[in-house]
Amino acid sequence: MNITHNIRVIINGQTREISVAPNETLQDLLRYRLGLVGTKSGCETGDCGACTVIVDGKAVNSCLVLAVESNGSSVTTIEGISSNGELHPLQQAFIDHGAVQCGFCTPGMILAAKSLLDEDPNANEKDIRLALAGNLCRCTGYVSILKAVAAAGKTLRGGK
Amino acid sequence: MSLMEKLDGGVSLLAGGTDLLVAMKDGRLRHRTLVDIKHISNLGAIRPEDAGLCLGAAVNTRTIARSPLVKERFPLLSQALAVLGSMQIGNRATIGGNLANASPAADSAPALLALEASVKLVGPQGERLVPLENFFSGPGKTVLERELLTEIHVPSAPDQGRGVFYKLGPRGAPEDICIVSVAVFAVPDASKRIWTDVRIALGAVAPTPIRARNAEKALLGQLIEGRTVEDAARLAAEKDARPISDIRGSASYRRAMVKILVARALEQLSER
Repeated sequence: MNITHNIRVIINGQTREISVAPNETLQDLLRYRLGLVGTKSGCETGDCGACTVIVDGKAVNSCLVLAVESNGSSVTTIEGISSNGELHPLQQAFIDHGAVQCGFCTPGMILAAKSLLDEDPNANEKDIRLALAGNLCRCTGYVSILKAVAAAGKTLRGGK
Repeated sequence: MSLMEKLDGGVSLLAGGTDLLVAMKDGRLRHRTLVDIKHISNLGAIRPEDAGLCLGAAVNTRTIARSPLVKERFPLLSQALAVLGSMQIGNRATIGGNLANASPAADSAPALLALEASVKLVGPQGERLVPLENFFSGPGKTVLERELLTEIHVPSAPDQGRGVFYKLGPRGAPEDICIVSVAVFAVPDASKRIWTDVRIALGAVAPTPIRARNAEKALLGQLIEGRTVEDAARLAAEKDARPISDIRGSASYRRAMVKILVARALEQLSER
């Protein structure tokens, strides 16, 4: 069957009209059709969080979302969070705290953390741990990641 | 509904997709047609219903967990749904999907069983309201017959009642598929000395999520004290639980954990 669906989706602020296959995941659309390979492909079953993107303000596993389901939505990937060449405070904090090792989990970690901080700028360490529980880091650099997110939260609150 | 009839057997319903897409990817399910039900308008609301709640089947579990209304009226349900899955899963997984998928380990089931929830099923012949306890018929099986689960009704609970949910998993993280889960909702008498209404629900220790009726019966009208707690916990483990051994835990480990978690929950509810 060669059915396709035409969807309209805002990706990193830009409206795109795309024809997608019914069984195509959002992850595959982003990576293989749009070249946004910052969204990583890990377990493909929603366990590792590497493919996390933000859809309408909420962090989701893009491997478990069909592209056609994102019709009418706004999607943010790691490529879309810096502005005018300035890194997002989370990106800067990850660098400052040595929270990037191999880097594979980093986009998912940052987007999960961003959706949390957007939702609750006062998120405490417990909230951060819970929100990042669905993002696995096989380098096991979790402590630096937690520190980076807490520091970015502070920056975003204007505390510096 | 008419669409479902027309498409007949080849159609599967897609809500949050967190179970369905995994099943599709590993080839367990092959669908000719998926129908996305998330945007059917009346499936998407949380509303008060007298002193209880009506939950639209397509509301995602994290939204329910964080709802001020749910936190205020049924903290037990909020507590259970907060650890149903990671943030990303909770943002997609729907309450109706978690129930209709009928995993014995479904994290929403024990709390809803303890709160004596019912589910509304709508089909071509009309609609019916089924107590959740009668909804599950086996692992992955329910009484749904070409019907759509549209709403979950949680009846009002006595003001003095309090609930506890425990989920035992390998990581102690929300992502875990539980080895054992326990939800208890208990109401003491006015003097807080006697168990007057106790509902104990268990997950992952039987072909479906279950109520531990033997344990409950043993508590009714009895003094709130260590001895009754111990008796009930033992009955829950020995008579109510019917666990199997699998990769997550052996049957005997599961029984042992039922005993400990039921006792712990009842002890916590005995305080003050």
